[in-house]
This record gives sequence, C-alpha cells and structure tokens, in this order.
Amino acid sequence: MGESGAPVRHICGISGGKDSSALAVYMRDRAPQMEYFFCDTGAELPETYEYLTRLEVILGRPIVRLNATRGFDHWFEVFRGALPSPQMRWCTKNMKIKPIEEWIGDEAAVSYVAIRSDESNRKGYVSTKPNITTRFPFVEDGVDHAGVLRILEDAGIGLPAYYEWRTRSGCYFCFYQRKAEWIGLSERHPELFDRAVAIEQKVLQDAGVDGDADFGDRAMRGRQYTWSGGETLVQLRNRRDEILERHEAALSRTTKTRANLPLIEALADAFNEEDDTEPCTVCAP
Amino acid sequence: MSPSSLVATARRIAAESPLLLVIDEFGKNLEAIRDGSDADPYLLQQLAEAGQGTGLPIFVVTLQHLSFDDCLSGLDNVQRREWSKVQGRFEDVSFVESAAQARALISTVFDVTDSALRARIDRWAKPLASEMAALGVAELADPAVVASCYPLHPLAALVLPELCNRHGQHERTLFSFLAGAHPSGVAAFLDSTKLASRGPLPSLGLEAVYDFFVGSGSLNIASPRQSSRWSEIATRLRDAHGLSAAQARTAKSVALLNLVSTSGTVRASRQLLGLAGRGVDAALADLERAGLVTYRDFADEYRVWHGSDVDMGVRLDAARQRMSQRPLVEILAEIEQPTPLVAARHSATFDTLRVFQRRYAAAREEVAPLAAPSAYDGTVLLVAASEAELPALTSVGGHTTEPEGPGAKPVVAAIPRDVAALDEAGREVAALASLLDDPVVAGDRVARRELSERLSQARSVLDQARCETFGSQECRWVLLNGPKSGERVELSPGRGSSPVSAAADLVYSHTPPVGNEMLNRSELTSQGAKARRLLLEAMIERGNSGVDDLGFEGHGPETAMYRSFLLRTGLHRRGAKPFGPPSDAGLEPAWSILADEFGRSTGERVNLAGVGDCLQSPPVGMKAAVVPVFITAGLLAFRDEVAIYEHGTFTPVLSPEVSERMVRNPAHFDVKHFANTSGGRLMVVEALAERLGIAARGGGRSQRVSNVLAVVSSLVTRISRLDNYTRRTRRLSAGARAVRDALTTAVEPDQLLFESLPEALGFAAVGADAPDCEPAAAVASAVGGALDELESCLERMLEDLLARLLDACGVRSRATVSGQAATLDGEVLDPEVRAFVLALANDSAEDDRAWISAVATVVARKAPAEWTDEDRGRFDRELPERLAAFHRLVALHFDRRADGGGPFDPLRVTITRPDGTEYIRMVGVDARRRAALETALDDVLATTASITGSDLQAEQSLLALLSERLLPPDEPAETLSPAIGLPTESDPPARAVADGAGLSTGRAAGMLGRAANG
Ligand code: SF4
Repeated sequence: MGESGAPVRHICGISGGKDSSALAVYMRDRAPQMEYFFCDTGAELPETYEYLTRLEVILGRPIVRLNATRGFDHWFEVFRGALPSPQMRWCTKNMKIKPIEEWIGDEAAVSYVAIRSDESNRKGYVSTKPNITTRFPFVEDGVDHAGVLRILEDAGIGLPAYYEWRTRSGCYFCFYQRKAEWIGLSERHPELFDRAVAIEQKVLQDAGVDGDADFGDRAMRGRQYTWSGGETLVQLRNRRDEILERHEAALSRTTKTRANLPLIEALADAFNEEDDTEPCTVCAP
Repeated sequence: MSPSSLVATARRIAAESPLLLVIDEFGKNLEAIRDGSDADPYLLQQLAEAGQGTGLPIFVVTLQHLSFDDCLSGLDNVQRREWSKVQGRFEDVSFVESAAQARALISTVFDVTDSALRARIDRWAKPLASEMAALGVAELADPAVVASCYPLHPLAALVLPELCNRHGQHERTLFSFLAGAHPSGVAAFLDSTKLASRGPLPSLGLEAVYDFFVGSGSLNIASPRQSSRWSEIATRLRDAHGLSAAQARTAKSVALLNLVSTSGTVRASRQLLGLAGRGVDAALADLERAGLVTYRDFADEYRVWHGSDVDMGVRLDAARQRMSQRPLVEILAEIEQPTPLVAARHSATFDTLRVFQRRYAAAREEVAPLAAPSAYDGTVLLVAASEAELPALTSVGGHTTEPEGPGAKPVVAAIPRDVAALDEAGREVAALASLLDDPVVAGDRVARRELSERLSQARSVLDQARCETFGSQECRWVLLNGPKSGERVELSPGRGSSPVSAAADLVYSHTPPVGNEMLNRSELTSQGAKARRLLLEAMIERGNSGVDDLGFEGHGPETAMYRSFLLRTGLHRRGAKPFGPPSDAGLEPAWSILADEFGRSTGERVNLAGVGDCLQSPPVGMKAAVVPVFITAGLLAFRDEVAIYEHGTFTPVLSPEVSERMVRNPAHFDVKHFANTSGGRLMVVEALAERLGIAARGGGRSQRVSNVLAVVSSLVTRISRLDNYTRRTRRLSAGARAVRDALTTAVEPDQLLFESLPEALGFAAVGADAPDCEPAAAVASAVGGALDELESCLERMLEDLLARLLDACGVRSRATVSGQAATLDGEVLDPEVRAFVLALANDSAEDDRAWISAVATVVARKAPAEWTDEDRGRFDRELPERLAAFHRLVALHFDRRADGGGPFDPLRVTITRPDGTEYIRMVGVDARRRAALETALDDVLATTASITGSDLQAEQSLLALLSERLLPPDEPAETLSPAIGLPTESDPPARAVADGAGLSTGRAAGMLGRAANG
C-alpha cells in the first residue's frame, strides 16, 4: 500500500530487447500483479512485434502498448519533418518518456529495470518522478548475461530474430544504428530501408529545395538532415561492400581476442568498434 | 484586481459619467516589458476597447517621454507585433517643446532682487547678446533674454533645451539641473560662488553643463542610438589626464556642442567656442596637438572624437540627385515597410482583431488581394502619387470568386491630395540610406555614425510626413473590391485607422462571434495552443458524453474557449446530436459555408485546407486559430455523412491524434459527403446495420442507421482488430477470405459496400440508382457470417491445437498433462525440452486458450497469433515428436521413482536398421550399482575378446548383439507408441555404423541428470 492507501503498482517496461524481456519472464512468477508495458513507436522492427506477442503469450499477461496511437509517422507530420537525432531526440521524449509518465500518473509505483549484474556502468531509464521507486532485480539477484539467456531459453521464447543482424531493439530507422546495421536493414527489410530513405529525402527536400528563409532560420537550427552521420542512406548503401568488410574485420578481431564468444556478444563488440555511444536508455536494449 | 474586473469597473463608472483614465509614467511599464517581464499588452488593449463598441465614454491616455517605438526598441519581433497592435488602438500625440519655451521656463527660475546686481547683469548681457547675434543665434540676440537666463552663460542657455529634449526627460531634467541639489547644478554654483563687487560676472558655462549631464552621468540616456556616442565622448575626456583648466574647459565645451548638434549654427565652431572665455584658441591648439580634438575644415567644427574626412555634403548632394530620378513609390517601398494597421473600431465592435498590411503602391498598379490563409485581413495601399496624377486607379486582379461565395480579402487604397512632403522626406531618407552602402562611408566609422544619426532624424521626418499625408482630410480612401461585386466604395477619410475600419465593416459583415480573445487569433500563443488541443480532444472524446463543460474542471482557458465559442453559440449542446447548427445567428453564415462545402463534396472529395480558406475569407473572415475548432465541430456534427481521408486514405474514426495532424496540415485531409442512400443501396445498408447490430453513432439505441459511413466504419474497425494469423491464413472458407480481402483493400466506402463486398460473396454489385436490392438480406447475412468466421478464426485454431495435443496424449484435460510435466520440475537439462516441459507444466495459465497458446509458442518459437500457415504445419509435424520425448522422460522418471529413486545418468540410444527405420531408447545405470556392473562388463568383454581376437571387436560385437535385443520384433518405427519416436530432422544424431545396422549414442534429449551430476 502506498501512503495514500492506494495499492502500489508494479511495472516493468519491455523494450523488445533480450534483457527486459528476460526480466519480464523472471518477474512473472515473482510479482503476479506486475503490469508490463511497451512503448510502441509504430516503427519497431517486425521481429520485435512478433517477439512481443510471443512474450505476451509466455507471460500469460497482456503487455500494455503505450503510445499506440501516436507513432513516429504522427509526430513526423506534426513536427513538419524534423528528423530526430541524438541532439534533438524528440522521438524518445514524445513516444516513450511522456507516454510512460502519463501512464504511471501520480500513483506510487515500483518500476523494475533490466540492468544486469554484469553491467555496472549502464544507467537504464530511471524515472525522476518522486512517486516511482526503481528496482534492479537482476543486479539484486546476480543475474548476468548467461542468466538472461537461460531465462529466455527456459521460457521457450529464445531471442528476438533481429539479433542476427542488429544488437538493439528500437525503431527500424533508429539513428543510433551503426552503418553495418543499416546495411543489415537494407538486406533484411528492404521495404523498411526504403521507407527510411523516403523520410530522409523528404527532410532534405524540405530543407533545401523549398526552404524559405524563415524556416531555415528557426526550424532548421541544430537539426539533422540525414539518419546516419555524414551521408545519406543512399550513399551509405552504395558503400555496402566497404562497410561490411570493415564489419567483418571487426568481428574477426573480437572473436580472436576473446575466444569462445557467443555470436551475440561478438556482434555487439564488433558494432561497438564503430560507435559505442550509449544509445537511448529507454529504447535499448 | 483581475483585468476583467478592472474593465468591468471601468464600464460601470463610465455608465454613470464619462471616465478619463490617465496613466502617467507609462514609459516605466514599457521599460519593464523591455527588461523581460512578461507583462501582457492585453489589459491595456481591453481598457482601450472598453468603451469602443459599447458607446460608453471611456478614454485612456498614457503619458510617456519617448515614443512607443523608442521605448520598445530591443524587444523581439513577436512582442513588438503584439504591442504595435495595441498601439494601433491609440492615437499618438507627440509633445515637443520648443527651445524658446524652454528658455522662457529657465528665465522664470531666477529671480534677481538686488537692483545693483540687476544693472551689472544687464551690462554683462549686452556684448554677449550682440556676439550671439553675430553668430546667427537670433533667439539669444536680445540682451534682455540673455540677462534673464543669468547665471547661465548664453551658450549654456543655447544648448540646454536641445540637450534635454534629445537626451533626457525634457523639463524634468532641466529643472533638476537648475534647482536640484547636485554638486554641479546651478543651486550649488549659486551657493558656492562669492560675487566680487567688481570685475566680470561669473557665469555657468558649457563646462558646468557638461559636468552635470555627462561627467556625472545623471542624464538618463533613453535611446541606445545616442548612448554609445555619449559614452565614447565621456570616456575620451575622462581618460585625458593632465589637462589645464582652460584645456579641460574647452574640451568639455567642444564635447557638449558635439553632443547637441553636428551641423548648423550650434556647433563647435571656432567662433562659437571663442565665446566660452579667454585662452580658448591656445587651448584648442593644445588639444588638437594632443589628439583629443580634431578640426574638420570643411565643416568648421571641432570634434572630440575622431574626425572624418569624408565630405558628406558633396556625397549627399550626389545621392539626392540620383534619388530624384527614381519613381517615388520605388524609393518608398525600398526604404520602409509601414507597420500593419489595426482596424481599431471595427475590431472592438466585432471583438475580432483585424489587421491590415500596409504598403506603398504606384498609381495604376495591378494589385492582387491577399490569399485567404494570410494572417492579415486586408491590404492598405498607400498610393505614392497625388490624386491629380491619378485619373483612375486600375482594376485590382484576383477578385474572381462568385458573388455569393466567399470573397477576396479587401484592398483599400489611400490616395493623397499632396505628396510633396512625403516625396521630399522619402527621397532624403533614401539618399542618406544609399550613402551607407558607399564604400568610403562604410569604411569610416565616424562618417557612418554621423550618417546613421542623420538617417534616423530623416526617418522621423518621414514618419511625420506619412501620417500627415494619409491622415489628412484631403486624402481619398477607396475600397477597391466592395462586398457586392467587387465594386469601388469611397470611404470617409480620417486619421488613424477609421477608413480601414469602415472597409472592414463592409467586407467582414459576417464576422463570427467567438467571444474568446485567446482563441480568436491568427496565431495562438503556446498556452492558447495547448488549450485548443485539449478542447479538440475533449470535443472528440467527450462531445457525446453529455458531461458539463466537456468534462473540463475549473476555469482554465480551455473551459473558457468551450463556453464562449461552443456552448454559448449553441454549436454544442446536450442531446442526441450534440454538435450541430449554432443557435447564435452571428455564426450562421460561417456554418452555412461549412455545410455548403461538405455538401459540395458529394461528387468529389473536398480538401480541408480549401474549406478553411473559405471560412477565412470575407464575409466571414474567421481567424485562422478558430478554424480547426469550427471544422471539427462540423465534422462531428456530420460524422455519419462525411467521410475523412488522410493522404487519400479513408479514416474511419476522427481521433484526437488524427485531429492533431489535421490542425497541423489541413491540406493532407479531404472530406467526402455520403448523401443519404436510397433504393437498393439503402436496403443493403439497412440489412447490414441490422445484421451487424450497428447503432447510430452518438444517437439513441433505437435510432436506425441508414448511412454508409456508420456501417463501413464498423466493418473496418472490426477488421483492423484481427490478428495476423487470421489476416494471412488460407484456412478459411472462400467467402470469409474474399470478405477479408475486400475489407483490407477497400479505398472508397461506397465501393466497398455496394460493389466489392457483394461481389466477393457472389452477388451482383448494387448500382447507385438500383430501385431495390432483393438479395440485401442474403448479402448481409453472408457478410455477417464471414465476419464471424474471421473473428473466431484464431480461437478455433487454438481449440484445434489443444484437441490435437490432448488426443496425442490420450487424455481429456490439460490438467493431466500439466500434472505429468510438473513431476519433472527442475530436472530437465536440455534447453529445448526443458522449455517445452515448463510450458506444459504451467498451471498459472488462466484458461485452456492461454495454456495452449504458450505451448504452441514454445514449439513454433512464434505466438499463434503471428503464425503463418507454414508455422502451423510445422507445429503439427513437430508436436508428436516433442510429446514423444516428453513421455519418455515421464516414463523414465516414473521408473526411477519406482526403483527407489537412485541417481543415474541416462543415455539415448538410437538404433538404425538397414532399411533406415530407427528405434530410440533411453537407458541408464543406477549409480549405486555402477561399480559392480562395470566389473561384470569387464569380465564379459574379456571373455568376448578371447573369441573375437581384439578388444575393439569385442565391444562392437557386444553392442550389436545388445542392440538387436533392444529392438522390438519387426515393428516399423512409425507406428510406435508415443513413448518412442523419430529423432528430429534438424538434429540428426551422430552415427556409428556397425555390421550393417546403424547405432548411435549421445547425450539424451532429456537428461534427468541433476541428482547424478550434482
Ligand atoms: S529507438 Fe532510436 S529512433 Fe526510436 S525512439 Fe529510441 S532513440 Fe528514437
């Protein structure tokens, strides 16, 4: 019971990645009243959607989809075509943080966050709202990477299929994607890649071809024109072989230096060689 | 006191007797705004309007030392715009005191009673007066005037009024110098000066004035334009050390004259400075050598700051010459953009701010009215030619709409009688402005500064000229596109915005009563935007709920918007149809435009941006921010007749998020009206509504639905809830498949209902003019049947899966299977089998459906709701094998328990016959007997080796024999009981071939190994 006498809510956010999914399963029997939620950007990978349904069945409880009606396409129209970027991350703010905080409201709640016992330096999304207490069950119980994999295996759901080519969940066009992951997208989901290209083209066109001065002065300040740094997606795709070569090299370097690595870790390490900025803590992993 | 009660109070007082409100020191309020407080101009505006329109005698006068513009310099554009709208409701009356008046004021301050002194002063004044006359300063050429100013030196008396006007607060500053307690003020001088009985009379000269005003910094420098020059001069003098008294006095005199003027008689000329006292020439020479002052030959002027060698006069003449060649209108358009004009009286009467853009125009210019979405309500053309040159102003392009429909925004031309003053002032500004680009001037800081100063003076002359030219009674005002048929209408001339108000009265005759200042704008504040968003959301979500104030609590701006614009006007009310035609007659014209536009969309889609344009055009002229609220009310009122399309796609429900996008980009939305159907089509619609149980939206339960949209929306909504399996599977009846495909590919509601759906089910399409449709009921029941089939598809599959599983286990309830699985709890190591066993054991599942879903998910690694038909096939294939493994484990576990439960390490043995059939068996050794058994085996092996000749041969032979014994007598593997099965294809066991029969061993698929290992 909270101070007000209302029952305390127990909530567990699912990102579509392995850790949070494992935590959901882990908490299934430990906190039967748990409310699971997922912030839907409307732009997740098909693998993620499929995985969520799988998880939902295994949990035997619904996963509440937050933000289901105002996805990326909505905000993109409302913001008149500004791409989100690490500097201007309106995506996370509008599609994740705000809906979460709205959903939680002002009732007392315990939020369970999937930080593993072997990741001391990752932060995770910890709400700053005073009515929310945060707990880290994996840290408390010493569940590490192997523990997470075992939980998922036992539950019979395994890993989301995107782990074959991408290390993080999130939007298909997420700007935190590494170049090799973009190539992965273009090969696994050419139609999504094309959509990302179309969005980018629209922004470029708005900015350049008919950008009036006023628009340029105000709206475009500090704004991102391309999804991936320094080039358009079309240019990036044209460099496919070069990017993959580099990625392969990084992959073999990691597997060499660290023997007997599960593929999923090797992949993560190889991607980190390109760019290891901490991605959106709400969205990943 | 709140602003609104203040206004109410003012009105009450004025109802009794006329009210004059005088706000003194209004400049302080403006300063507060400039310094970043969030003062709202709105109160002032409300006060200003309190009387207008109501006929109450309320007058507001504000007093400030500087013009509005000067006070507000330094504000950003948005704030300025807000304020200039407010200013537009006032008339500027500038008060500029003449120098003579100021000097008359000075003379009243000093009172000389001693007649001897009086005589001395007169004697002192005489030569000075004649020197002033020689200098050309007529105002001080009269000895009496000079004497009356004593103890001020005539030079001080000369510069003081100008100084105070330009840099201070007029006579207040003047008085604080004359009478204040400041140590360099006049009072201090009088106190401290001993008057010798003979000799020259001491007087206060330029030096003292400088010390008071500049040196002590007591002057309030109002305009930033001036202050940099002040500070430069003050700094230069302050930093000049070691000056003799005469040098300092001279330097200060020069400085002060520089500040007051840079040309004309009053300037730091040699002659004028000569009056300041003896030794000036020498001091000037010293100062010049020291570089503190420079002498500008051509202007005969000393300057404290750096001199410039640019000959401004020559350049300016050339520039004037150039300007005189160009058409006036071109010049004016280039140098200034007149501020927009608020139609003050009209705005107050209609409670709607109408702002006209102003620009200069040539006679006979082709002018197009503003487009509907423009933030301005009309255009004022300041015609830069006198009437004499204007036999007729040319026709105005762009007025093309039908006389009945929405018209073009008004264009008003102001044609002055006489443009001479405007002409002169404009060309002067242009000439000066053009010099700023002159590279010589641009490179000379001093010249540039001087130029900008002159330019700003010239600009104020221009302002004045503009006001007088167009504010004159002689100026003709013509509305070029009158409301009837674009005819010309002569307006009565006048100052300020009265002619424009008259035009707005004519053109915007149907201005809708919005009653909410925050909403009734072309652009919302961020607070207003938030309130409007809440309002729209509440209209959509709670408009039908019958709650008070749409469920808003308190008196927030959204409540105010709702009450004044929706509730008061009757756009929203209680009842079965809460949105509908307004009861407020003032809103009727706007409503009929909306209804007409929607009605027009029967044949073709109509774009919402276009509807907004009509509403924003005359005669309604709805403000842009109101339009979305009004259109939304209309869409809700006609929700069962008007379909919405976003980017061309039919949108079954107007949700808040759709509305957000609509507000942002109305052009992305179209509407189409589905007129009431009749004949055969009506029969189909009614049959469907009945079969599908669709009630009218927002209406009572009993209300019959006879429109296409309610039916289609219901169908589309139901289809959109289907799971992915149902969307993809082919395991459906042909009819259900066809209905599904028709519904998921439908683009047009009527096509769907009357063509694709009937055709999908084998009926003929129903034409628009079909008198009846005999199979209507059959169509409806087929559609209903197909929908039922679709909606139960997943459920049925799950039932089927459950039945298969229970069947394969030979049991009747999942509880039995769960119970068996639970006995294996925690003992299975193989991950895949373990997950399967755990899923079977799951007793927290709410029902059979949840349980079988989880089991199916584990087997297929995909939730059934996401399956394809291939996934289902795979499940069907894999289930028996999984179950076989499960049952073996159960049996093994059971044996072991029966056996006393000793720990053992099981192996799975697969034996392959030459014909390829295989046999699998779980085997194990009880650890407690292991040692004894191994000894026995060693013995047998030794014996066998003596027969076969080698150890290896011995092992293999024994293995083969054992295997044969394990095999059941000639029974093919496929028909074995659930306890025995084939290995999976994906997991072929490694094989060792021995004597024609394959045999392999490996870690068992399920290992009951915990006890043994641990
Ligand atoms: S996944 Fe990436 S793009 Fe999507 S919301 Fe998170 S940060 Fe933004």
